[in-house]
Amino acid sequence: MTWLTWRQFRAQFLVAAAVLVAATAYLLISGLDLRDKYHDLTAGCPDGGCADGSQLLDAYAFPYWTGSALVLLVPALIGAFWGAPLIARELETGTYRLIWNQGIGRGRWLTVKLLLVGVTAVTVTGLLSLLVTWFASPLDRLNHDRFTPLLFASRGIVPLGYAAFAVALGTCLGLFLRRTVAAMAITLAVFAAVQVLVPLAVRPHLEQPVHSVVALDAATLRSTRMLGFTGSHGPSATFVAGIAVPDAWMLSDSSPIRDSSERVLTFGTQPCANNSHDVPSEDCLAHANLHVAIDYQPADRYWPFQWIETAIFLALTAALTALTTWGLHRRLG
Amino acid sequence: MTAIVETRALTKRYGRRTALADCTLTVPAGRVVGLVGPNGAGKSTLLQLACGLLTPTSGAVEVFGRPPAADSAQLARVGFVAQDTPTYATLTVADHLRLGARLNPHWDAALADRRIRQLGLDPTQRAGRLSGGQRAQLALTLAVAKRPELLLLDEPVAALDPLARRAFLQSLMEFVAESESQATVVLSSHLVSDLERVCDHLIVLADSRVRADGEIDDLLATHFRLTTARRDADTLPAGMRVVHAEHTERQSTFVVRADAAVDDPSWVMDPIGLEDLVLAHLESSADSRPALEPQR
Repeated sequence: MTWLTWRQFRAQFLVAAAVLVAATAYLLISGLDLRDKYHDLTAGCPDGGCADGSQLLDAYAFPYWTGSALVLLVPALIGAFWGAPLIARELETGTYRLIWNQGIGRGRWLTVKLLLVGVTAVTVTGLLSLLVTWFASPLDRLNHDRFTPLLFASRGIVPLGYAAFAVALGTCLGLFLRRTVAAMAITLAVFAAVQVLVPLAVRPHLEQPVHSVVALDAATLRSTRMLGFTGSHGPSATFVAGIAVPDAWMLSDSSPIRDSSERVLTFGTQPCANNSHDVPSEDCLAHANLHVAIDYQPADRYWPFQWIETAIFLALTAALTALTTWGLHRRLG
Repeated sequence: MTAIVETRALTKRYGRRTALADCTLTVPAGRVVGLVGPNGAGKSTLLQLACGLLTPTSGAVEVFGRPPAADSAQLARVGFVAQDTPTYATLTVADHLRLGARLNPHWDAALADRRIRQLGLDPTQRAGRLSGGQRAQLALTLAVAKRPELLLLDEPVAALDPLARRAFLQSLMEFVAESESQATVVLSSHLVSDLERVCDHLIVLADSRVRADGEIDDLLATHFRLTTARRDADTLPAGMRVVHAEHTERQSTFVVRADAAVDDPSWVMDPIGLEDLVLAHLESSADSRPALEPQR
């Protein structure tokens, strides 16, 4: 059965291997080059802390973002092109009537297929994730934004969970839809929906966010990502600041600025008002005794989140596989 | 007579459509059984129930006294050639034999190789590029080389031209002749002429019910065409069961079932061919259809 599965799967695997080899060659060359430039940039700066990495990030934006997107795209494609046809093609071409009458039970047939394709999918995605994580590590150190959905999903171990999930999803949909193309399309759609839903609605709540009140002193004001008013300049425009905690995941882009009596400041009530519509000067604001409240997931939760999310996707994989096994014995009768 | 396949009140429904209703029959050991009936009579459903591809809605089917496809040992004892003889289009002929060898414990590699050679199939040819007849032969090779005790064939020759059809049935007969412990074969078709050549037992299925079931020789010895002046069927002597009746203005023609021909100057009673015998049973089922309706 292993031989047959491999024989049926060979062509699809070779395509993946070719993509992997090409990606490896490109990222390896690009990555070594990147390391040289990173060393020049951070010479004398411990941990790259004092270097301005924006130029390097710009120069490597293409491999950085496409590499990350590829790690997320590969499980989706694997689900559609490896998972969905696994059972659907046998049903569509009628070959299930040939193979289910050989001296091997349907349960073992499915197990061998799922194991071989699933393990290959996880391995290919894992290698790609490892490669991209290695390539991007200097840029990730400069970027201080590991929780951005695309970057979180394309580093570390979560891609392994996505790959296993995608294969199980495609296989299950193929069994119940009985049409390869429909199963492929719906696999892609469901996988994409999950990848939108999880960072928006699930990942922020994996642990209770940290709530803290930050004083707007001179140092904080220098490191704000933004400072200004929401909407048009009128009494309804709130005065807000976007605070960045290094390497943490900020759950809101900006927070309303409050004064010492907890009053939310709006256009017109802000201190240090000048005659123009400009934002007040930071020097003046720093002495106005202002503060903002922020919610965030701190940097040290990165790996716990990676493990928890991987576990969630492996649990989904197990549930889908159980459903497929049940459907194979029941529904086709 | 040991039963190889036994069904009791076997019923299969797809949603509201009934594919097979209340079918009770027995397939005796060591026979080549023809399963004949019009399209949609439930032949395919019956065979797929017998090999475990389908599960019954109600009733029961047993093969070798056990539920079909219960485990791999049971699967290894039953060969199945599905309708349209599916094969893996991208796999070669040799790949198919390798598949059979790896998945079946009693695989007869010598038989498989010999058959492929005799058929003149190129082992490196992809199955998708074979002709319909060659593909059917490949599917049959896979099914017989696993050395099954029961071989089920679902309209294997329906899509073949007459030459390929004859070659296929020839191959089938060779398998039956050379199988050590006489294998049982069930072969479905809607053409009696195909079955007449190879079968020794016949089951006539119409409207998902068994209309006639027996050794072909017995069936032929007990069915007659009776031509007489116009008369009603119930005026015929007891012991004659009318299968089908046709009346013209002056003459009546009956197909009757009786133990032996009865000489009577008022009629002519002749033996009947297998094709006419089957047709009479199928037409009788069509006649009785309205009467059967309330029972379902």
